[in-house]
Amino acid sequence: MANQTSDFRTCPTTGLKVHLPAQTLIRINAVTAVVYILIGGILALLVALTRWPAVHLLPADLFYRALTAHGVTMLIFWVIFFEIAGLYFGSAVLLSTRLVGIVFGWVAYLMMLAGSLMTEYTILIGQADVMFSAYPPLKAHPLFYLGLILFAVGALIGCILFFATVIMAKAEGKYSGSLSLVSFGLAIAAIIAVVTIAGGAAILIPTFLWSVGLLSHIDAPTYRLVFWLFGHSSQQINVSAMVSIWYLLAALTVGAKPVSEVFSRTAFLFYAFFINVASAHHLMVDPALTTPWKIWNTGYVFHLAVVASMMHALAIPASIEVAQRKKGYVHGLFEWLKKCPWENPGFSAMVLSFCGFGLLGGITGVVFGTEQIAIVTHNTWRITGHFHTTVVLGTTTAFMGLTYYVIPLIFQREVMMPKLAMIQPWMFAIGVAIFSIAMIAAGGYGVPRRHWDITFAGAPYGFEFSPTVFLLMSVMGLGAIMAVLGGAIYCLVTVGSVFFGKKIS
Amino acid sequence: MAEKKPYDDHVPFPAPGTLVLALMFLAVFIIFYILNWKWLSMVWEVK
Ligand code: HEM
Ligand SMILES: [Cu+2]
Repeated sequence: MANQTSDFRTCPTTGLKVHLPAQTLIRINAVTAVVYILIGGILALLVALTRWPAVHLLPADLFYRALTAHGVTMLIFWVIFFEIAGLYFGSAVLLSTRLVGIVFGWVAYLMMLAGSLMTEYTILIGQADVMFSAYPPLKAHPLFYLGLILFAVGALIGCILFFATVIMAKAEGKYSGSLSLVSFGLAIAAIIAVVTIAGGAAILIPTFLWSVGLLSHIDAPTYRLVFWLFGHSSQQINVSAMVSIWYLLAALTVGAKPVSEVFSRTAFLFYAFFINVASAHHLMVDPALTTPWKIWNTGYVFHLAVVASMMHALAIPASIEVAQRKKGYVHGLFEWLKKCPWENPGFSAMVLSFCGFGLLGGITGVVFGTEQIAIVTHNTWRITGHFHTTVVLGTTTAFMGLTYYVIPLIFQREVMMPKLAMIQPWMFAIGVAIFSIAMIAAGGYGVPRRHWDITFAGAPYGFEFSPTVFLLMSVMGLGAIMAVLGGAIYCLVTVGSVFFGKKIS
Repeated sequence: MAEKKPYDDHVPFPAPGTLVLALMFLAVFIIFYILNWKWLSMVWEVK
């Protein structure tokens, strides 16, 4: 077995033993993720500039193509490549052990790469203008579904390697007792990922067979129900991964330790137990489901998942406060907060992600998830605004913050252009907050999502939106430009550092 | 104030600042919840 010490190096700052073959896999997955966020960001700009009525950049067909590509590239490829890198990091590196099955890690990577390229290609050539949700009877080219299936199987292999590594590390006595909280949170993310991928297979395989003509019919309501088993749980992978990264960044930036392990672990377990029931909030106006089911779900059950996030929201700042007070910042209620390392992009990204996810994403999620509200806001920009505060302001900003530690720890390079890196999370997060709030407000006036022209120019039946809507959509455009610039700086700093940063020996 | 211990043994919660932040969060939550219903019902008034 490849367990020679020559396969390892010891990190000079953290003392962690880094398995070199695992390090290479982490690097390649992380770099691929950054390439995808770059592509997704360019598409975001095109989409946003089209929906800004004063600019209205793309023609209708290209708009829907860019929108499909943006959703798929960001929500699936950027996020999951980064998460796979995170899983290898959270198992092999954090446990100072070797990654089991390196060869399979490469197989997984190549499947994910081939699958993602296949899907991107079919979208690009105009054979899959179906949006990321791909509701039948919309039908895409078979390669679109096949690419997603390949990608998902690759990601599943990545999750299995994570579990195998954790189990092997335990057997080899690399850690005793229970897993560290961060690895535990990532394990929860990986468990939810397995469920998610099973849901994805259950719906994408039949749809693929339908697209090649082997199945004559796909039941649209069933598709929608099972699709959201996949689509909703995949967001919970993101939430669990993001919260794990919050704990990790709190530890790395201010030396915080969990105040109560039991409390935080319970909250993670809640995610695993109650996540799938919350998927009903995607189906609140679906005529195929009964009203009692909707009310039972949105009135009661889904709050159990919300409680878990609220528990983390208490545990994380408390751990930071306790750590800071131990350093002597004990004056008043908030000296500890003032004395935090705000100039460290790892820290600021964590706080921005945390506040954005909690205050904007969490509150709007709970409110819009209520059945009566969902009826009014379904398919409006309120929803698009809501999930940009969760998966972009929350998850993406947290991933960006972690990157500033991955560069020195895994790529062994210094972060270049530290001044730019310092402002990057602020620029990105504030830009996202501005455009998301503008979306949410415009959606309140009924502005639909996925709509090329809300002025209905030339249509037989028009509709006049309140003039406020046009102001809000311009604010959206400006916020989007700011966010895209923040994202561009992220790509510049990370790619620059990885290839040209000063080597750390 | 003289140097103190990180937190007082008599204080049941070791992170009072966090407690205040949590209460502020709750207040924002309640306010947003109420305003949301009020505002939506104004925009989408059934005449
Ligand atoms: C600079 C950052 C970003 C900007 C300016 C931006 C902007 C937009 C805009 C304007 C839309 C179209 C809304 C519509 O017409 O209905 C959209 C849709 C979407 N965005 Fe983003 N976005 C950004 C980043 C992201 C990221 C990082 C993710 C995921 C991690 C993401 C996921 C999505 C999804 C899933 C959709 C929905 C696509 C659909 O309706 O099919 N976005 N975004
Ligand atoms: Cu959901």
